[in-house]
Amino acid sequence: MRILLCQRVGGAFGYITDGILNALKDRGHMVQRWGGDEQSWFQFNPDLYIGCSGHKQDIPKDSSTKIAIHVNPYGPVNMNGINESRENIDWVTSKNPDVVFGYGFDSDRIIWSYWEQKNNIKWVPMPTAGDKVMFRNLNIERDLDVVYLGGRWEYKGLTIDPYLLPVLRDDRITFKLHGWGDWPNNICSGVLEENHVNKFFNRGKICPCMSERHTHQYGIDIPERAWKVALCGTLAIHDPVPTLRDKFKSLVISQNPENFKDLCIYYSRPSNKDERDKLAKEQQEEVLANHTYHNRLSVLFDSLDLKDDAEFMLA
Amino acid sequence: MALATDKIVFLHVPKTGGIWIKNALNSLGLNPIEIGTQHDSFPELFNSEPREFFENKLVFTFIRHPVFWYQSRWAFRIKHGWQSRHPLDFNCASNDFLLFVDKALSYKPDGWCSWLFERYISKDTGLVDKIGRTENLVGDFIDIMREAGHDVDEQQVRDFSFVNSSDMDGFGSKYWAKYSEELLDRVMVVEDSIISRYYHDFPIDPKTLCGSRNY
Repeated sequence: MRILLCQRVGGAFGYITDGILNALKDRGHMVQRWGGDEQSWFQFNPDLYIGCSGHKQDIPKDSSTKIAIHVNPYGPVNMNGINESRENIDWVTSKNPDVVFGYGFDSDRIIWSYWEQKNNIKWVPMPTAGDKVMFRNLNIERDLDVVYLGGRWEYKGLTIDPYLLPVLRDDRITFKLHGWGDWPNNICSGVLEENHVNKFFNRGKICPCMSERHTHQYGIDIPERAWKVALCGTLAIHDPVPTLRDKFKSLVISQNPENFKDLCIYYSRPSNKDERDKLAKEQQEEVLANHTYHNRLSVLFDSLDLKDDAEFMLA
Repeated sequence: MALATDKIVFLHVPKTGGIWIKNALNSLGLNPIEIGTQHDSFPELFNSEPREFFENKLVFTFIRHPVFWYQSRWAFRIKHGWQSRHPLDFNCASNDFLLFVDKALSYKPDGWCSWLFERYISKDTGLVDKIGRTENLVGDFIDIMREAGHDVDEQQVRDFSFVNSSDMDGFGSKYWAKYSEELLDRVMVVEDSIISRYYHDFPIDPKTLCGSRNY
């Protein structure tokens, strides 16, 4: 297929669409980022456009192109600041998409249910996933106990501060953290170039996987981190997102900050290497089987009645 | 916390109408005092007051039919968020009602509700005098208060508004949380300990409880 992707934007959606792009190219699709120019749209003549309500583009009227738009929650659950705005709902509806998709599993359907119930637009569960084209186990020496890559600002600090910082401040832990935003002194080693990320994750024995407060509460918007590091053979230890337990069965999930720190210390100890390696292997296999962008795109294609393409994503 | 007046002590089982009772006691001008933390039962309450304190009052609590309790509990968490420190949430959380109940029944094969309610209604301490049913919250409350010697105005109590903390968009938990017939049957079996003792006379209509989900 010929597929246009929303322009590369910063933040999570940028990384997520990198993963989508890599998976599509891996299966031989012709994929381009689209800057918004109408002439280039018709020159490319896409079969599918993948856009985002948070990064609006002026999609031309083109009945030959299927439209899929990433959207935020819109349902009976009122999550202040997380739900889609009225303006965005109206914009998405005006584009008459074939489907919309959001960062939730099928079991999270209620949280996006008004897209279908009130606006008659099919919602497709498409949580974040692991990019198996980019992330893999390099089998190099894991010289750090903990690796972490990510941003910190006030909202993220609500979970990072009580969970991650006590782990990093423990004398028994060696760590390296790359990222951006507002980290406390002497913790962050700065931004890491994208082409170094896989090797960086491979240096760690474990990776603490942080999510935001609404993810703890509602179980949606799972960050990519757990899927990525598992592909690298680095043990993912997640902060408390209990709804993940039946989605990623081998994932180590903590119950509270004290338990999170205990788990990080336990699995980083040399004496527990065998147990750690066994679990990390299980995590990697589970992600490869169920949680790559190949898996997610198969679901998307299936929802668009592209059955052969859906099947081929998993071939 | 438990609530106490000079004549009664109320033990608050989660998701059984306790907030309404608290509001009612306050609205009736009975000025209840709070004892312990929100959902304490015996023997924890003895950390706050001696046994004699409770022996001199009518101690009551409310329970709810387990099929309704699961609906209410799930909808409350969907609306307000899961709490991973709570074992039921940590082990059974799901934004899909059927999955949540399925996991809860597997997690506690002898019934989470039966286990929870038993903590409050156990006859071991010999202190619980009355058990009301949430399904007849107002009527049972009036009867219990009168038996305890509080002279309550029935119409005033019936006029108190309900606090439906699980409602979403104007619909209650029974609307959002639909059972499959198979799952409903499993709840009835797993929670038989409570149902057979306190709800053997209570009709359950699968037609109103089962159906396709409203989302």
